[in-house]
Amino acid sequence: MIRINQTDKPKQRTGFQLEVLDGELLLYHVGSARIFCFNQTAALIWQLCNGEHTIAEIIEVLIEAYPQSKDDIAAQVEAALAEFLEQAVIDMV
Amino acid sequence: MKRQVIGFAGSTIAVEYRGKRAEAIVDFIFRYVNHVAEREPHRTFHLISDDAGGELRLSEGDTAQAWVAASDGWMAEYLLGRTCYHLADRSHGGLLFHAGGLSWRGQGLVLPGAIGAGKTTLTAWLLSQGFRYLTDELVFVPQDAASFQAFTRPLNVKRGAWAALQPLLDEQDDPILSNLNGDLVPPERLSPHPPHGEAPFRLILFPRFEQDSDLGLRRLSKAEAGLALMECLVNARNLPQHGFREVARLAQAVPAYRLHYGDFAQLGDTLREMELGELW
Repeated sequence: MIRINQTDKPKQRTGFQLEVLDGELLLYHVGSARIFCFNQTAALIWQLCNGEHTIAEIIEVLIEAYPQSKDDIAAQVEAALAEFLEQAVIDMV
Repeated sequence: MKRQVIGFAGSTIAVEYRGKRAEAIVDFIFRYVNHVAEREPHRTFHLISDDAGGELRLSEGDTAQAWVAASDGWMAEYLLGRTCYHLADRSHGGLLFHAGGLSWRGQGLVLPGAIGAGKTTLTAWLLSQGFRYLTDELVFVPQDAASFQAFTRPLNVKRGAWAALQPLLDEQDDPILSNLNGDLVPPERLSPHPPHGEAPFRLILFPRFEQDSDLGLRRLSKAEAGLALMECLVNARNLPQHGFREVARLAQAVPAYRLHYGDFAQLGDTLREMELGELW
């Protein structure tokens, strides 16, 4: 299980080609020839992983944007970040 | 020596051959290929037959080392495999997929899949249902194109699929070349319509055949389709960004489905229900 700290700042790893298709995210890393597909929620979270926002701030941004889903957003962000870490497409800084 | 040049997918190979059996094998494999060779061959095969019932010898390039077979079926399968390998190895200028290809009323259906996914099996069944044959192995989409080209060849039916396909075969004189791995079947044995080499890219179907499995059909999201297409791309290393942008363009433009099936009887109504129904 990957532990996530709310004060961590997730940052996209470099070297990825990115396509957003109907809101979903297709990521391709040319150096390693690895490809990933993420759903719409994960695609939004990915866009915010710039190494400047903490995880808590990312959750706040998304709650502001989607107040009707505020009860689920923290769990969705943590799940998406856990998957990003597992797939090695982000680092925590 | 006679010589045939085969151009496909931005790549060119040549076959030089001597002897009646060698000539028959070359004609059997390559009679459907009509794409224009755009450049000099990067690989030349030399196929020689001993027509007194002896061996067939195949060598490549300048090497003296030869692959020797007594059986036409073994040699045809080997030459076909080496041809596909070398065409893919230098392919550029577009996306080359490991895929079957067919058309219905001029609209193209592409069946991408890894070895063993059941591309040839489904291609053969669709031929028996009135589709027109393009290929069971290699599909090429030129850069920015809305259509695809096919490496048209005899269907390579693996031994495990033979029982399912045998009832579909017409009783004709067209020969089938066999070996212990399987059979090379001329498309005319499955369809009266002559094969062709190009069609508009209308629909993608990722097949998975598993004997006696339940039917499963799911529309893929565009991102899922892009991921699945990248996994079937065979010339990625020859393309800018490994062809990723072009694959995304295709995934954006062409609807895609994933199909699991275990029996041909499951397929008719299902295929009519999906967008293929518009082609059917």
